Amino acid sequence: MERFLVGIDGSECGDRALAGAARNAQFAKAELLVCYVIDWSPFTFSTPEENAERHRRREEELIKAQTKLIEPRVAELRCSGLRVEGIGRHGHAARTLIKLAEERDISMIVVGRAGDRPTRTRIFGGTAAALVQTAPCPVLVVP
Amino acid sequence: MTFSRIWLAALAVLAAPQLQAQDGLDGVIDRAVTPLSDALSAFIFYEIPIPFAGEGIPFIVLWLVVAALFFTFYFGFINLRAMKHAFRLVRGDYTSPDAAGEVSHFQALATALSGTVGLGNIAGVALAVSLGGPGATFWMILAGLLGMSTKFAECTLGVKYRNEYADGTVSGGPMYYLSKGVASEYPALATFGKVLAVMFAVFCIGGTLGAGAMFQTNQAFSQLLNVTGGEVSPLNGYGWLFGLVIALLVGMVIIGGIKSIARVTEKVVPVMGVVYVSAGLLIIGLNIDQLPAAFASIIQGAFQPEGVYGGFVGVLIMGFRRAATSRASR
Repeated sequence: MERFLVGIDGSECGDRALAGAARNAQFAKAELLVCYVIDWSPFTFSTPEENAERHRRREEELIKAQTKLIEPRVAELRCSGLRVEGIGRHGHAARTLIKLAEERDISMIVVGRAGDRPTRTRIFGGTAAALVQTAPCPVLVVP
Repeated sequence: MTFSRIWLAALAVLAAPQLQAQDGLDGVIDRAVTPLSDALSAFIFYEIPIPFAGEGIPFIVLWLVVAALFFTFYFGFINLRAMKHAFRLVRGDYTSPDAAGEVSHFQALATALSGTVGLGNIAGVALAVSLGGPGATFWMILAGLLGMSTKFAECTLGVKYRNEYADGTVSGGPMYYLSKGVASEYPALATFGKVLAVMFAVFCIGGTLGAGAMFQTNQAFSQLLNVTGGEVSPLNGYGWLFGLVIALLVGMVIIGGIKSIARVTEKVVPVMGVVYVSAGLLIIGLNIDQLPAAFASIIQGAFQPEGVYGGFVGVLIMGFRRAATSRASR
């Protein structure tokens, strides 16, 4: 069975990507893996207080991502008869999606074009652009 | 001349050239505090006289050097052997993928460094070179290399005996490994470990007040005076006022819980570190033709008495700084 990976970011654009992925999955009878990447880098600077609380913060972030962002969307898609799995991860958006694609033998990655941070996207190059250039499988970019 | 006198004089020269002006409230404060600080430094910098030599070695420096030597030999030169391992660790080679989102090795190091770069590296080195000539550099490099072993022992103990709380936060440091570590390895000495832990905590307060608050505020004020015209500055004699203002501002940050200010300054520190290193490299680069001569004078000066002596002062300041901020490294 084919498996599609969708990257969501909680924005409207991410939801459009999810809808597009769902349409394609229904058509191809594929399974859907919905991933929310919590932006995190091992090379940022942190204060001692942040370090002390980091472990707890991480758990909180993951729980919040699961309950607020991933689960409601997954539940909605399951109602329409799709096989859907939700996952939350820390890291760099594009790199994390690519790693996930390799791990789970993904046949297509679906992402939105513009995230919810347009300035940053323009300066550093978007997740979509990075995926198009480096992904190990076809990438569907939803405008 | 005793060591503590030189120490105080050097601090005064470095930190506040204007304090000689004994007028106004500044002078009153100065006269009131001087006997106290003299007594304190006489105790802390107690000198062990060396026969047939003009100078003595302050106990505290000897302690640091002996400890560093012991750890270096005991761990079989871990400071040199584990260099490659250290680089790979910081790069994240040993980080498990499941740990994404946790404190990374790099972050732990950066946090520790941001607390260490500053007083020790800039003021300590400058002071040591001005007292001991270029030869002091040699001894500071040597002490720095040996000190890595002490740091290794400290940090390993800190991690081994740290506390992990139910809410997921962690805290570690000398006060924990002194009380918990000593108790579990040598149960007979458990009380002694507790006493040491409490002493450490108390001395930490002293160190923060002295090296952290007083020295830095003093330096900041003398800079301000220099910039606004030195002796003739309208601010001359208002050091007490400056101190009060700084105290108020720091109080706002700490007591008022203005976390964002502390957060901003702590984010600025890494930038300072980068600027510090690149400025140093730039200066070396601009004077590259004098580099061989500089090395020659460092080696030459290293074995003259004043070189050794200046090195001790540097070791002292760096050692203090290292000891006082080591708890940040977990």
